[in-house]
Order: sequence, then C-alpha cells, then structure tokens
Amino acid sequence: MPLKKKDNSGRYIPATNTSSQEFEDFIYLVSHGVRNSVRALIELPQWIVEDLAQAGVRIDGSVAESIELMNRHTGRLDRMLVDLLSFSRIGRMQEVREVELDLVLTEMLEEMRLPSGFTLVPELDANLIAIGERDIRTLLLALVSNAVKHHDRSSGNISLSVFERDEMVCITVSDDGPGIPEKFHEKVFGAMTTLRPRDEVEGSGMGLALVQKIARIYGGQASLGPGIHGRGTSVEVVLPREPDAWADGPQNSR
Amino acid sequence: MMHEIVSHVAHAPHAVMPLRLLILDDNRFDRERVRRYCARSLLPVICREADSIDAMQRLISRESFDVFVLDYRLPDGNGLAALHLLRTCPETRDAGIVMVTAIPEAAVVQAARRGGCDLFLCKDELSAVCWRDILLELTIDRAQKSSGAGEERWKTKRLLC
Repeated sequence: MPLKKKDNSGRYIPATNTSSQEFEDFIYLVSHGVRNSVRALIELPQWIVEDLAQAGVRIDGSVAESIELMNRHTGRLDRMLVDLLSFSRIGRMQEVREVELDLVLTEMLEEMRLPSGFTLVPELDANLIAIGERDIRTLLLALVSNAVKHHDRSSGNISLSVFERDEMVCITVSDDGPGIPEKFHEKVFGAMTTLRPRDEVEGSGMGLALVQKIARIYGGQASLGPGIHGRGTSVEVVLPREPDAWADGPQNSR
Repeated sequence: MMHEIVSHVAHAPHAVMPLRLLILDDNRFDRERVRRYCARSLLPVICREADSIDAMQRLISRESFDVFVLDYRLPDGNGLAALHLLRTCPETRDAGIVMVTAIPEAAVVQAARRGGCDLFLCKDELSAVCWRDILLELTIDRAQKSSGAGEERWKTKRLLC
C-alpha cells in the first residue's frame, strides 16, 4: 500500500483500496481473535497454580517445571504474534508525518523501561524525520531492546545517535555487548533468527528483520558495525529525511 | 445464548459499602479475569456478569451498579451501544464506566470518550495491580459523588496501565 497519497492539508496518509481494507480486516481478526486465546493461555496456568495453592496443594518438582515451560512457550507465542503483526503493519495503517525523535524516544523509553544497570545516551544532532508514526517507534524499540536483550552482562552502555547527512537521517544505536561475528551480519537480518539457543534469550528473533524492513520501505538501509570502545555492535539505519526523497515509497508487502 | 452469571462477592472486610460492578463481556475468560483481579485487590467489590447487552439490561432492571466494565466487541452490539444505553438510562447514567478492548482503535477511544466513558483500557495492559488502582480510584470517585464534592462526576480519561 503506497503511503504517498496526500490529504487536503498536504499530509501524507495511507492510500486505501479494497485489498488494503481486506488486509486490515485480516490483521484485526488475527490481533483480536488469536491474541485473545493467547492471553488466556498465558494466564490460565497462573490461575491453576493459585487455585491449587488456595486448596492447599503444593506445586513443585516436575509439575512446577512443566507449568514454567508452558508459561515460557505461551509468552514466546505471544511475542512472536505481536512481532509478526508489527512486521506486517510496517508501512501500513498509519499516518506518515514529521516526527520529533526526542519525543518518540522519551515515549519509547517510558514504555520499554531500561533495566537497571543499563544506560542509554542519546545524541540527537538531528531531531526531525518524516516517517510513519508507528514505524519510528517500532524501529527505535527494536534497536534499543535488542541492545539490552542480547547483552552478555547485567549492566551495559547504549548510545543512540542521530545526525543528518545529504538529506538522509542516520540513526545509530551502539552497545558494548558481546557483538555479532561478521559472518552472521547478513543472517541476523532474517526473520525469526537468533544466534543463541531459544531458551537462553527470550525473543521472537524479529528485531533486526523489523529494522531492515522499515529501512527498506522508506527507501533507506540498515547495516551493522562495531560497538562502543571496540566491543559490541552498532546498527546504523539511514533514512530519507523527507518523503519526496523516497525512490518508490512504501510498497505493498506481505 | 444470552444468560446471566451468578454473582461473586470478592471481599468485604470493612463496613465500607462494596463497589457493585457489572462485567459485560461475551468471553468467559475475560469476565473471569476481571473477577479475579477484583478478588485479588482485597477491596470490597461485588461482581455480576453479563455476556450480552440484553443480559445486562435484565440485570440493571433488578439491581443497581456503581461501575460497568464493558467489552467493545459484543454479540448483540458493541461497547459504544452499551455505553449509550447506560448513559441515557436514569438508573445508570451516573455510574462509572470502563471500556476494555483488545485493540484500542483511535476512533473507538474518541467515540467512547465523547459518549461519556470514564476509562478506556487495553486488555493486553490490564493487570491485577492496574485493576486495583482503578478500583481505588472508582471507590474514591463514588465517595466524592455521594458527598456531593464537586460538580464533576467523574473525570474522563484514557488509561493504559
């Protein structure tokens, strides 16, 4: 669905058509119906434990382990569903407008809440970019949460720098974590891809896939580089400052 | 099939009048979730349940309620229709109304606010802690209303816990 339709005030708005409406309806049904059941699957084991405890039945050993495994998998299922839905909505169902990155970052950090021990240092030499209002939040959230989630220590440093260069906005998030071996630099942008066992890092494996899709759909690109002080990873996303600089604009994608 | 669900008294350790709460949701799990959160709050709350607007109407014809928790998607209408019904009925127009939905669409949130909804919640972000805070606020608001404190009955706001 191309986003380069303008309304009467000159703002870019989603262009609607039949297939786009069908897709939105599909997303709604999946969001509502499937996640309703997932929500139940997440909470019901807890209710069982509570009710059994109330009845004086002790939960331990293999039963407790099974319930814990159940909780883990339903949590994983929910995260995968959320991230897949986010992936499918990139470039869709939102207003493209000029956003202030400092405000988006503040809201994102309030929603995400950095774990204690982690610090994020923003360096916003550029603050404005025209992009989907949901997509920029998804982008920043994916970058920062990845830096935290994949860190190998209980504390860490993350930097977020933004600057403008030749009508492009460069957003770079760097960390001092374990880093990503160069041989995996292409693989990690794949969907549902993790480099560590699933039981070590709870995540959908969609973080960098989301980042790359957002970058591409707005006519930009994402790449990896060295982290902070010779350790860790940096992810640089380069995006056009204005929609008019897009080559083709956001396209239909499934 | 539309039917009423038996009430449940969450907890009433004090002489404080319990909050009378009606949960309107066609999903049994979601009704049970709110009921459990009410019980876990340790606040005096009496919960009644309805799985349709029709069932809710039958309940409110017999009993009075302080708070209504409305799901948005319902078998015989939607939360906005239930909201309109409650706000235009003399017996319920002053009650606290909380709408919950799985997907907080902006248009629905705005319509709920215009229709007199007091709180709008996203189901994903609902938690026992959040629900206790909401119940405390609703209890305080009811006490203020009873004492005649202020012309403003309730504050309308959107809350995401």
